[in-house]
Amino acid sequence: MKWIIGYICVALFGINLATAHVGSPAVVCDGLAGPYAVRVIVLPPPVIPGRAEINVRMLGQDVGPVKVTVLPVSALAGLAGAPPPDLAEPVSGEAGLYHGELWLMSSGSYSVHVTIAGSRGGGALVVPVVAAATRTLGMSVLLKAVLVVLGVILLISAATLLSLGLRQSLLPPGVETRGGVGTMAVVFLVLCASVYGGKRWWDAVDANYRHNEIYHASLLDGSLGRSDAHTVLHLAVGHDGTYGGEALSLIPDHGKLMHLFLIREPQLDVLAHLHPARSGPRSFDVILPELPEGHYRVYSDITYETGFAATLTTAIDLSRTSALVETKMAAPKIDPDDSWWKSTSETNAKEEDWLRFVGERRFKKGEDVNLVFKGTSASGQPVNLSTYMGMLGHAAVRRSDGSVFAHIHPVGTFSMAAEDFFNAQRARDLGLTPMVDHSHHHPAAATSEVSFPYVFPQSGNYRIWAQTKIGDRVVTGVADVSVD
Amino acid sequence: MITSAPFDNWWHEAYGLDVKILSPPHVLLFFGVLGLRLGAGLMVLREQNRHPESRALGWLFCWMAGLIMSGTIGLFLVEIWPTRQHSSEFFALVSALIPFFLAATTRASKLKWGATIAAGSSMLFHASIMWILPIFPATPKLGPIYHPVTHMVASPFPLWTILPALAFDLLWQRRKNRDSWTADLILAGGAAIAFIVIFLPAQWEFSKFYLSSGSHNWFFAGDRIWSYRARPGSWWTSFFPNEAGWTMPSIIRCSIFATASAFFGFSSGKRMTQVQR
Repeated sequence: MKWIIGYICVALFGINLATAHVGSPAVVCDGLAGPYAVRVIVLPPPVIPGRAEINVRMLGQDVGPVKVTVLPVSALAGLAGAPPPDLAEPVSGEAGLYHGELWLMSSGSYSVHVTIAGSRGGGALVVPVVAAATRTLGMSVLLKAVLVVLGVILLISAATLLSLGLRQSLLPPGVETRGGVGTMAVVFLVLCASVYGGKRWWDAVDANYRHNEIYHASLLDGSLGRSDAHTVLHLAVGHDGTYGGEALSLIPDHGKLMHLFLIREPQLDVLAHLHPARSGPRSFDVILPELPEGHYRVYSDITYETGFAATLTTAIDLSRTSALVETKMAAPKIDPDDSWWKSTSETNAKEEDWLRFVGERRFKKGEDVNLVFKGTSASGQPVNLSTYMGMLGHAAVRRSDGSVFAHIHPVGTFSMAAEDFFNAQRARDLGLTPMVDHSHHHPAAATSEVSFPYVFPQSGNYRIWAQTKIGDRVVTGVADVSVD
Repeated sequence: MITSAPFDNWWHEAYGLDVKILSPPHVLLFFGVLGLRLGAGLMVLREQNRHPESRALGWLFCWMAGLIMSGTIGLFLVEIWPTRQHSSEFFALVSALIPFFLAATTRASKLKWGATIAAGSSMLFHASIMWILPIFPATPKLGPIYHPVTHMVASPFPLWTILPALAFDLLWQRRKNRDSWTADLILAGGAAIAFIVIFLPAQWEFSKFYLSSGSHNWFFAGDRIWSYRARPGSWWTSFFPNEAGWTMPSIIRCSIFATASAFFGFSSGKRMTQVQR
């Protein structure tokens, strides 16, 4: 299949330093650990091996004192390769909040088993977490100054001691020598050469870390073509030669191997939530809806078969799509769950009438919050929501500059595919029959509200798109919020 | 040593809570420890040179030399791991490192078998760690655990440095009393040959034995050296990264390294005999 780029400029911005999501490392999970409703927040370390922070908050009514243990389980080793769990300690002054640390010693896919025991019995909750180095660390001016001063003192002291030792240790006690500048100079030069060698070594370690240790999402190439009178976006994953022709081994999330979000930049006034179909070992195709011309950021959420969730990014420019050359390939089927939204006003996008954001629009970074949307009729009455792809809602959160993007759900910020994978792994490890239970993905009773737990990673202005169904129709609510 | 603490802390935050031995902040710490040992060694040397008749001081010096050699070899624990002992890199490393200590010790010691005693002390020190640690029950507190150990993990059986040490002592005892750098160089060449002919084949054969089930006992502890992070597999009993130790380029490199190392050792040993304070 020959994909024509032609008039269409396809820009490639394939590298990011994010795993699941972009620039949004905290994992939030609302769920049930047996009889206990809890919110678990995991902040993975920025470097591996490292220590993750974990907070477990008891939700709902007071259940009295409980014992909370946390256990990181590597996808590769399973429960058989897990260490003993650690106790999460109650946080003083915060009733029902427990805090612990998780040692993540290897990069890759993990689940955190949160076990709670109390007067109501016991239960466990499995939270998928991705462990990957995501940052480089500079050195503070203070630390630099301290190390430079200490280093200079060490260098001078070592040069003095060594040159004195070389000259005076051979003399009888009491006999002093004069001079020795030459010896000291030679020793000093040797020590300086050693320091230089150390610097070269450090540079090599740093270069290796930047190239091989820091997680880089696979490259995502996007190209456009025409097929059966449709504009088709062709996506190729990791065609930089890293993987050769090896097929991508993915597991479905809500029944889809890939969730794709297209957001028009810089207006953020168009959003498409699509589900490309697999067209090759490492490629996917999707029919684009009739989107306005412009520059679009593309976010592709996938989950590898190890439970490792990743967001791959690229960008496309949509213009003069009618000029694209028709290809002979059949167009992929349109996924019935595809949806898109265009602002009613190009310059001042407002919330849709059908799904309104509820509550304050100012938040603090680093705090777990609920982003609540309410189904509302044209007359202002509450309207019950229906599930959309098995969930009461799906939301995309994006910082205005694009440095943060997250695809989240009412149960949390993790991949649902990873949740299924790890629940099945835990069941197998415990000798149980793996069963997929999605009963917690939607409320037991009809409701007009959908709430998304989230932790904003940075201050700034954000736009949130929430999607759900009212009746059979997908509706999208939009809200702009600011984070201090 | 104090400087290495904030440096190492930053290093862990920047590159991860590593379990590596060889890293710049660890080397800085090593030099701090080495400075202490060298200081203690110089004091022992002074006393030994002032009282050459004292066998106790002679033994003390050899023990100090053994400790310094142990510390230096320990820094390269990963590089000298039994599975690497057939590689040209291992050959080059030990050729550059060990002859220096043996030559310096045999020359500076007041005992007839100074290098042998120092190497024996070093081996005994390492072997003691190997024998003592596995006595204590211990289980991993971190994961993933690929090897469920039940006791503390041993370090591998020490390198057979006592064998070339015997040769170095014999060479030194049979030298001609010519005190010149050319005489030292010739002696270093002989010592290098002895090192290559004795130590490298011995260690080659021993490492083959060590990777076999024959070493799975308390004395050699061949089955107790793998940590919880080591996934059991054929790589436990395979040589890595190559078996190119006995190739011509490797032997030429070893000869040069061992000669230079021994020459530097004999030269240093000469100065050590003159230490008076």
